[in-house]
Amino acid sequence: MNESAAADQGPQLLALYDRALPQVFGYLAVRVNDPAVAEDLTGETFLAAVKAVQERKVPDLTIAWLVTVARNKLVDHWRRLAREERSLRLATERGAEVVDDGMDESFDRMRTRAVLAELGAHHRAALTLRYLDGLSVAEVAEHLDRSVHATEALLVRARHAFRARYDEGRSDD
Amino acid sequence: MTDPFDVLREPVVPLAPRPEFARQLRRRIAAALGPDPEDNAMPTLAIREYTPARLHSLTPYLATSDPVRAIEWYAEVFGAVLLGEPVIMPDGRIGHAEMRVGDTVFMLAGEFPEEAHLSPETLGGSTVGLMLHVPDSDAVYARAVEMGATALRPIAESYGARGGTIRDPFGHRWFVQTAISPDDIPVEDVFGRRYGDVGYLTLMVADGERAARFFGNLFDWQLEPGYQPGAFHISSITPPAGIDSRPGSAEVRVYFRVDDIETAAARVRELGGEVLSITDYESGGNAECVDDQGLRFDLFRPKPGY
Repeated sequence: MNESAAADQGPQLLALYDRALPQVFGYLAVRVNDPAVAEDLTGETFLAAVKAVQERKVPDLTIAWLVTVARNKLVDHWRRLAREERSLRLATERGAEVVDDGMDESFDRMRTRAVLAELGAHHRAALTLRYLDGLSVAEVAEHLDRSVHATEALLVRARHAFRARYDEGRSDD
Repeated sequence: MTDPFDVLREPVVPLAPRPEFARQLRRRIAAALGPDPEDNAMPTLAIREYTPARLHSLTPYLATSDPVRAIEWYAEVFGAVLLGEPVIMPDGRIGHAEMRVGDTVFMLAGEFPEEAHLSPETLGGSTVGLMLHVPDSDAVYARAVEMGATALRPIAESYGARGGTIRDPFGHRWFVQTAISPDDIPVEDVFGRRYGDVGYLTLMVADGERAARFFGNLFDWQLEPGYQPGAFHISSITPPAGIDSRPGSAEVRVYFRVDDIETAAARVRELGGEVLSITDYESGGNAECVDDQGLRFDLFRPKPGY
């Protein structure tokens, strides 16, 4: 991109802010289930955008691009959580042979969010990127910095964990 | 194959965060972006994004041994106005107070040795002087001394200002000033009053009385008669304007604001333009100029009040 286009992006970012903020915050708020965390990640997203603008690394300054930045911040957030959880992670999650039985019923959105919030960060990350964001397995793998095979396995385990929690919640009804 | 999890697909649904969060984040973004290098003409806009509306970039914060009395004293002597209620700490000390004097807010608090917030009395002197511009420095200086200030330097004229220096009863030094030379009063950094802004317009017509009737009826302008018959001043619009009579004329004359007439006129000549006349009017300095293509324009350096 040329110099003057890059120099114009600072004011452009501020001009875009009012329209972009509800989109970025909306994207994050649904996925983290905690308004305070969503605010933190929203702040991180826009400040990362400022940095990218200053380093002239933004090909096309749009709301869609800002949501992509938000997704990266979300993944970073889950990585931090996963590190904190690592010591607590259950051994059963690692070696268990899981049968991916699929599901034929539709999920209730509210319950889905509640169940997702209960899962470990790495499971939550995989399911959110794959299903809430609708990314392909390869794209999820790229975001999570894993191989496609490892990501497939992670998704299978995550679905199983999700399914188990979800059914558990229903039996309490 | 359809995946049952696909029903979980969550499109981005806009959701507005708390307004206070939205405002704070906007300020953080603006501050992180810094002043826009492309936008030299309007630096104040960027500054306003990260500076509270009531403040300028630099705000004095005074330490005083007796903040309650200091607040009264600054109100009485300088006409400063207390903004809001002072913050009282659990131990009874005044932790923060803000006062406005002229167009500037200053802050003050009692002494907090634990934060090195010490009064001039405790330190045995003040290293910072505060320069305060007031409409009548003689009156403020006299009132200050009457109210217990120490006279450090009597009222005198220097550097285009009339002022004196006092030490207030709490140890702070103030230079109380009133500018007297228009050259020492910078062109204000507000729209229409900066270097190169259009500062005045004159409607040059054959019959000024008739133009006054025409435009006065058209716009509801407030017209004040000028020094000559057929001349008027219009103060109710921005930039202010005038009407002038000259046989055979039907044009608009543009007056650009400059800091110094002689310097700007010299620059006109350097650039291939022509300076027809330089005149010092009651309203300020004026230079009639022509650019290098023959366009008539005026440079103008208003005196205070114009």
